[in-house]
Amino acid sequence: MDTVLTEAEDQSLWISFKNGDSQAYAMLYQRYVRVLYAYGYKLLPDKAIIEDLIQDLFIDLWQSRTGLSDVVAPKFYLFRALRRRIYRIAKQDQQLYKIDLEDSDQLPISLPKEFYIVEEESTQRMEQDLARGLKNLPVRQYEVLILRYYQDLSYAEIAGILAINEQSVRNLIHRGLSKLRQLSISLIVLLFLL
Amino acid sequence: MSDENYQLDDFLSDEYFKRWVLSPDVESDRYWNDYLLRNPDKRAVMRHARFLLIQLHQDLDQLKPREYQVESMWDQIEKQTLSQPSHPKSLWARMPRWTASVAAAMILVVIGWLAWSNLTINEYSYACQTASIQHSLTEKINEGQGDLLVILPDSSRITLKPHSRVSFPIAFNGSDKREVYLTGEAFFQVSKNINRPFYVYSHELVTKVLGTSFTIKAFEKSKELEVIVTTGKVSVYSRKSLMESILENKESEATTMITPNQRVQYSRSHEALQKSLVDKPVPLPSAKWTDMPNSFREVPVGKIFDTIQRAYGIDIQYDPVAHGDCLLTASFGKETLFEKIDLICKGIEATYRIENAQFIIEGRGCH
Repeated sequence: MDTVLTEAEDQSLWISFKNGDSQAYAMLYQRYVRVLYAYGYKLLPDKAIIEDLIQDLFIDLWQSRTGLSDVVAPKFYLFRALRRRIYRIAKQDQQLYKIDLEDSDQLPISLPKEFYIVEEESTQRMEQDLARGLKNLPVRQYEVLILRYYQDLSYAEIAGILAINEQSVRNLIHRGLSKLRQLSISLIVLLFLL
Repeated sequence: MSDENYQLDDFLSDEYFKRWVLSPDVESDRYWNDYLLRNPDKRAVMRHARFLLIQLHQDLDQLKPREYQVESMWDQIEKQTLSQPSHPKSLWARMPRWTASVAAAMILVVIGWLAWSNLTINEYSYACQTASIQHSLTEKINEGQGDLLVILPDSSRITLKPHSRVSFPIAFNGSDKREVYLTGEAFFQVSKNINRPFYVYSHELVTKVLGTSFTIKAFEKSKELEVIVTTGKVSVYSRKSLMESILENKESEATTMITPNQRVQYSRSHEALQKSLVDKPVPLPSAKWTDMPNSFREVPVGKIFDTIQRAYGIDIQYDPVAHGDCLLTASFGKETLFEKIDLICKGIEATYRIENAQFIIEGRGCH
């Protein structure tokens, strides 16, 4: 209920903000600062940097408001802008911030041995393993899952944010999910046995 | 519906499924339960989807900034935008300095409150649960200082305490359940109908009875929710375990049964149910005065324990060999049950502890 903001609501907020309405500006900030921060922190776990980047993002937003497009979805705009800023910083100082810039698939998830041992009451452990699997996904696959299933952005919007084409987004999601599906096969086996 | 062929990503993208996982209500419970009955092969993939959604939300919610961060970032932003004198046309600049800052402070308070109240909306809250079926419900609100008596269509009675509200259908004939929603505190006297169990949804707690009387304390902002039984038997479980029981297709294991003088407390931070004894157990209404004499003269302790068990409906575990035959002379006044048990234990050189709403008597015995 609280998270589903209608697009129309968002759009009118954006227009008011563009016209210099400081209240609309503050509301945009309140609406998006938390999810933006969480997303940014996931990519670059540095509190001070993410705070700075978000501050700069909103300051620039206010100063350039008259030049902004009317039809943009604010959420999409903000996520894309924040991601660009994070990657700019990460590129400047690659020593410090090792962000997976590419879709590195180097680290395959290894299934723990216990996976194949079906025991009673092990559903919970399977889920723990699945959670671990999720954490071990390559950053980019995980990021796409977040944008799609946590932030509810469309494939097109995610493509815009990541600066890749839509098909690549679908592929990334597919790859992420099938990795996790592998993990859950044992979960299914277990359910059949129940 | 076209959801019969759903795969993992379809579930994950389905708004209604998502809403059910993150904030279920009776309506969506029913829908997805029926869906599973029609498509039993989807159970595993649904569990998987639910798990992924919850995991993603947990992961990301953890990373959200603290409120002080949100405020301090805004302070910085505001300093460099809204409070800059470089926008002479803005409303801020035209007003005297102090008006502007007072107004700004007020707006911030309002925004902060809006944001806060939005963010802390509980997924299982009274408001969420009644929202989808509001049209078919009657709501009673007690805004006064005293109790408010509410009579339901099935002639069950609800004594609604101050600052509480309850919603119930205009008639109970639509479904095989009697379903009522509560926020706050109320005492229920439910008329018996074995064919139509009576459910109270109070935030994260679900209480199911056939016909009994009990009290529920479930205020929106309190840290713990509580159910206390006066007569009969009551089963209590959490909304969360209800969802799990739908997905697992089995009776919820997390159901806790309580009887008079027992209570269930639900800790919101631990998301767990805990069964215990009420602070001041009283003899059952059905117990006669003669069932609980005030003085015992040279009576075997086993017999005294049995008397207390019957009078209060509370189990006392003791070793009949070690303690059962110890003779005790005692007379009781206005002591609470705990004090009585304590006195008895002192008399037989034993100690007691309470576990799972039972008294457990321990000691070497009196031989």
